[in-house]
Amino acid sequence: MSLLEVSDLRVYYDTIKGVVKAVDGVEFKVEGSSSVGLAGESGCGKTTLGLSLLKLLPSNGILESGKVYFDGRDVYSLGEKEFREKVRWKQISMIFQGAMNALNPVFKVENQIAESILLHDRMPVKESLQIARDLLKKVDIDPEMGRHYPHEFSGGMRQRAMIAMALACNPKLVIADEPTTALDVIVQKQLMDLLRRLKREMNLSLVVISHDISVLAELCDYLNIMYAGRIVEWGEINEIFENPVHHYTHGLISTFPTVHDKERKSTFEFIPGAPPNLLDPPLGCRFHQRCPAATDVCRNEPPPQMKKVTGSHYVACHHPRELSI
Amino acid sequence: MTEEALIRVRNLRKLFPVRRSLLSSIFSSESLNIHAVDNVSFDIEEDEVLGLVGESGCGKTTLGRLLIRLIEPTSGDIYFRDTNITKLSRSEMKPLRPKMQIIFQDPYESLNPRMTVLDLVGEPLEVNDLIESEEEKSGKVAEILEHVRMTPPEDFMFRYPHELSGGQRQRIAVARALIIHPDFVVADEPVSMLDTSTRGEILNLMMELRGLTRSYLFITHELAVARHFCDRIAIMYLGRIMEVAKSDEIVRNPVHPYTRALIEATPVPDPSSRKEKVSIKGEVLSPINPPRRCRFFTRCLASKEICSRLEPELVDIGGGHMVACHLDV
Repeated sequence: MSLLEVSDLRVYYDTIKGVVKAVDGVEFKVEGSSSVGLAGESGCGKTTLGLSLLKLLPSNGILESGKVYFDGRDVYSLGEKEFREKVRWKQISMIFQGAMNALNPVFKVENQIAESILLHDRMPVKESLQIARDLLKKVDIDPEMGRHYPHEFSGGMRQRAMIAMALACNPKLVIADEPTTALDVIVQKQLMDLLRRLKREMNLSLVVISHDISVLAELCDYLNIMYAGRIVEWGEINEIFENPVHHYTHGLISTFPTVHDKERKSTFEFIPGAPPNLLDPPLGCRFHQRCPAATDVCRNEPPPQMKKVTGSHYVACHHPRELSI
Repeated sequence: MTEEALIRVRNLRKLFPVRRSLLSSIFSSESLNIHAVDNVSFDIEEDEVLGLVGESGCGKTTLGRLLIRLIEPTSGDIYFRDTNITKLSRSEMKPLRPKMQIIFQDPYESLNPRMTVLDLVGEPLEVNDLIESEEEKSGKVAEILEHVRMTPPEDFMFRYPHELSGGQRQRIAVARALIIHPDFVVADEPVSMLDTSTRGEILNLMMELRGLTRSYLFITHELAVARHFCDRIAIMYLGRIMEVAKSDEIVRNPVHPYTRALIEATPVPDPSSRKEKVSIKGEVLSPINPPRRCRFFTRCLASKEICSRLEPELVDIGGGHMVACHLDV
């Protein structure tokens, strides 16, 4: 059994304009000690999926359906109190998007990390501060810096402090939502190296959410491609990059220019059109309006189900691309 | 550096004074300035796309705005063809304005939400007295909308920005800059706010519409985009230009240690080519009154004694490849 298994997850938002189907029937799993990427464009529901794993949806979020098993245990059936005590941060924690701005400006950094420890484990404050400093050291910050306030930290250091906070209760799984967005490439590279090292040293599993598949290519063992509230392709990451069979995945990968290309490109790849409005998603496959291979089946039949391509490579498409070997 | 260049920049500086409390200004007479652009010289040729690549806070946006005099330089000269535009008054500048345009980063903020597409795109025509009637305006707007693939134009002309997607908004921003056929366009991170699936469309448009403009200064933090979009690339770090070369040359044969670190750190969308480690240390220093030495000194793994006391000049190491570094290159 996998570390995390999600089935038929549907998360809707109740808004003035109507019900937004942000996550609409997602199957998802994470093996122990592996890192899983979740890629997609803005508004495809990837952050909502991450938040719902921790039951941290905004007040207008509705958990329409779904089961989440963590370590073989049905954690969605737990009450809020039990979930908070036993699962959130103890088993699954999160590095939030824009985490650089998520620290409280009026508390010292070490106190903020210690706070998350004290919420879950009973121990003297002094001891929790010691753990906080050890955590800072683990993320390559001078433990003495813990006595400083967030504004004295650079963007990269604040992001590291947020990683330390996510590790506070020794979780098995960390969800990192856009962990490097808004950081400069060099800081981004250093953070990716740090995440890789922590994963190895602490035997962590990671779910990395990003719009930037080149970041996921550096960090992940598996990749899920999400489009308009559904996962359209997943598999082992090399397999997906070498053989993307969903037309969206193929388009997405080819839109990323590479700095090492020998020749200059004269034109850039793009996917025409824009993602559908999730207030009123189109009938059939959600991607059919932008897909080069769409037929009447794609327009009129219900969205395709996940089908096996090879060993650990699945796709939800009526007309998948041919495998190139 | 040739006399025929479209834009020539010489020893350009822009300092922003740091506001201090009364008390600290009494006890210290030293003035504090952010050296956003510090003694920069380069040329942009006719029909050239020059990429300006650097991390946030390195002064690239400031430099772009200086070039079209949206802000005033502290010292130095900018020549547009033969005219030194730094010395011109507002009214003398006016006839040159339609020759230089800018595309801003964020299409969600750069378009007035109360104006229709027709008025947004037609505004540069009106401001510069290039049209005589409303019919002429809508005719020209329709023509440029066709160019940026917002077809049929009648469908879009009377829409407001909130009715358009991010990619469509940025196409409006491109149309707005190019409708008066400027010679020079500053494109300040024109695709960084867009989803990756739609970026290519904007870049292709800017490339195709080279008939309507001559040269671009393309400002970006993404070397991977600049490598393909630009003819030449200038690498900027803490207010200085560190290296300039043809884009093929700079990625195949980077010389400055900072350029090398940037290339190493740029993520590659290919999981089979992962590399750990990047040859750089520390973090970017403050741009407030930087000491007289190589700006990259504290982060460079190859620094020598001379780097700590002398600021290197940008010199040509052959074939127009210019580097500001003391190392034996």
